[in-house]
Amino acid sequence: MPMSKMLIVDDEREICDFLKEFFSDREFDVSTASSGEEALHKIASENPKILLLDVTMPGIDGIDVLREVKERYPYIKVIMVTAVETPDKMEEALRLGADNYITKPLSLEYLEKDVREKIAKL
Amino acid sequence: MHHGLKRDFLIRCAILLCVSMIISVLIGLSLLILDRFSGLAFPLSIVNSMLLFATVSFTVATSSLIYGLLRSFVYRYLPSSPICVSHELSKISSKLISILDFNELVNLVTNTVYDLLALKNIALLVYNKDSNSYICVTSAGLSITEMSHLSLEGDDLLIATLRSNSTCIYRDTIIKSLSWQDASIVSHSFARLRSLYVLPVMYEGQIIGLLCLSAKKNEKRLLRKEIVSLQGLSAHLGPALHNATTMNSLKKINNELVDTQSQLLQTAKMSALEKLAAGIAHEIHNPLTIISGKAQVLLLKGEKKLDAQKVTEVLTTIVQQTKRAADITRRLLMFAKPQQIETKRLISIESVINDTISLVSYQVSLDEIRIVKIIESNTPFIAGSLLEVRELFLNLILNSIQAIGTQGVITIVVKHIEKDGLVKISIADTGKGIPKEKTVDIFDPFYTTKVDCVGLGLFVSQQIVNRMGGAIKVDSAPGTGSVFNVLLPVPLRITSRHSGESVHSPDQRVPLQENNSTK
Repeated sequence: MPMSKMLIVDDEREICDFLKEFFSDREFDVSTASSGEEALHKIASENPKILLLDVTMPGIDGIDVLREVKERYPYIKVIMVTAVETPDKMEEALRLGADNYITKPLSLEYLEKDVREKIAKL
Repeated sequence: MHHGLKRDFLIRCAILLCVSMIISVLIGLSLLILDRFSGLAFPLSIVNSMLLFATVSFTVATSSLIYGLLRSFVYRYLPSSPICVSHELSKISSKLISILDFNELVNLVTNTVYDLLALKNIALLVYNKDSNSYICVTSAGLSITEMSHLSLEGDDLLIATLRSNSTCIYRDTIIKSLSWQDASIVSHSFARLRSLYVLPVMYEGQIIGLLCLSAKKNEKRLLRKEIVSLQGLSAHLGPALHNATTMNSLKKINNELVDTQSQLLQTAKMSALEKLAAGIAHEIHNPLTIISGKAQVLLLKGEKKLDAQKVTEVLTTIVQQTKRAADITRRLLMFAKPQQIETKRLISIESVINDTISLVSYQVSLDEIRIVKIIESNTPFIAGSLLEVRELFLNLILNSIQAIGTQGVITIVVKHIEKDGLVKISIADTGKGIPKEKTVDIFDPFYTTKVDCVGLGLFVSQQIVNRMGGAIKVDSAPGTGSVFNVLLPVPLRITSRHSGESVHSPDQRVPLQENNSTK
């Protein structure tokens, strides 16, 4: 089974770290980015299949990245991860084509199940 | 009231007695002079003239005494007698203009007239511009439902009649002077007002109120003298009622303004809270995500790869992140409960700065940052909460450290600006600086340029400075660093450190033992 390429984007390094550890243990090819800018670079160079994307980040935020990704790489599955569930942000994300919208703190088991479902649809 | 009467009476007696004595002395003297120069028909000696003098003064004094006694008897036992009524009414009339409270004024008038004249009922109607009608504002002897139905349109025939008479009108008299159609309308109006007499209350030629009186309880009509007194009362009531109405509407407008203002303040506070709430959720959910994520990674690993070093690493992160979350709530509490902070005391800025520097000295030495302080020798104490002032300087110094990163200088200058009664504390760093358009934003809650920072420090600092009645400003240019200037007021009567120490009164606690041993 080929390893699925995954990009984790969060401005909290610690969050990137444990998510990377968790998904690497489960046979994913994981890379991380700690800002919107870095994420866009890595998407272009690494071509991931799935994106775990934090909404609130300084500079280019998750919504901006989502807009860009869905325009240029519509086949990439994007799961938005947010600390605060503000209805307007959530609406905007879903309108822009986010594949899921989940809130922190995360349930890793749920996240894994969701990621696998999204990949199966590819 | 009876006391007043008694004193009145005594003074009058004394005056009468004096006057009568003077008159009799004059008569006696003139008789004596007449006798000496032209001779009188009867023999007159000094004794005789003295007797005459005594008789005259006795008679006058006795009669005034009897008059006074009669008066006080009437006032005490016949309060509804016409003399008494007119006396009381004229007394109240002169008092009216000084009453500015609307309710007090109208109640005083209706209750006094109602009691004095022993009426069956009385009502005072006041003109309302919006509805162009006279509306009952107070009454006596009427039920609440009767009172609430008591009103008269501004164009009622009764008002026109009053305007042409501009004096008290009595139903039975006025009806006789009108045509039978008008008479029926006017008598209907009288019935609506449940009264026999209506007095206009005039101000600048306008009827601004109606005083409506029924017959007396014993079914008798009002006496002429009583009506004259009532007219005197209503003449005084006009300007008084105008003043009180104006005052009332001003009060109403003022209350509305105060309400609006407090609503605005509440809205501003709410939006600050909303801003904070979203920020709190974000800032607390991140450490929580790390804590729970790391723990889940370990749990889901099962027993296969669990080594002691990994567990220690995860546990250390959990402890750190818990601290981070707790720190956020602690800082927020400062904003939420400003009143609960300890009482004000006199604080030496120098020792607070020294304490703060010692607190950060370890981190500063690691980052190769030098702190220079220039503090004037007799800087006065400031008044505030020690915890807050410590928090203020800690935040500012930490902010400078973060702006520098590694290698740089922080310069702290404390100056006393005597003419303005202020102490100026400048904290300058050689850090990266702030773009001009951001110098206002930096004081917003959760404003931060750093990934690992909450962004509450400067916000909280500004809150503290504002509470102390001071001001905080930043001068900055990208590349050259920033200067934070804090201006704090010096409490009155304290101009220097030394006088500051001598001002301690029992309720002003002496500053904590602030040892200057740091550095």
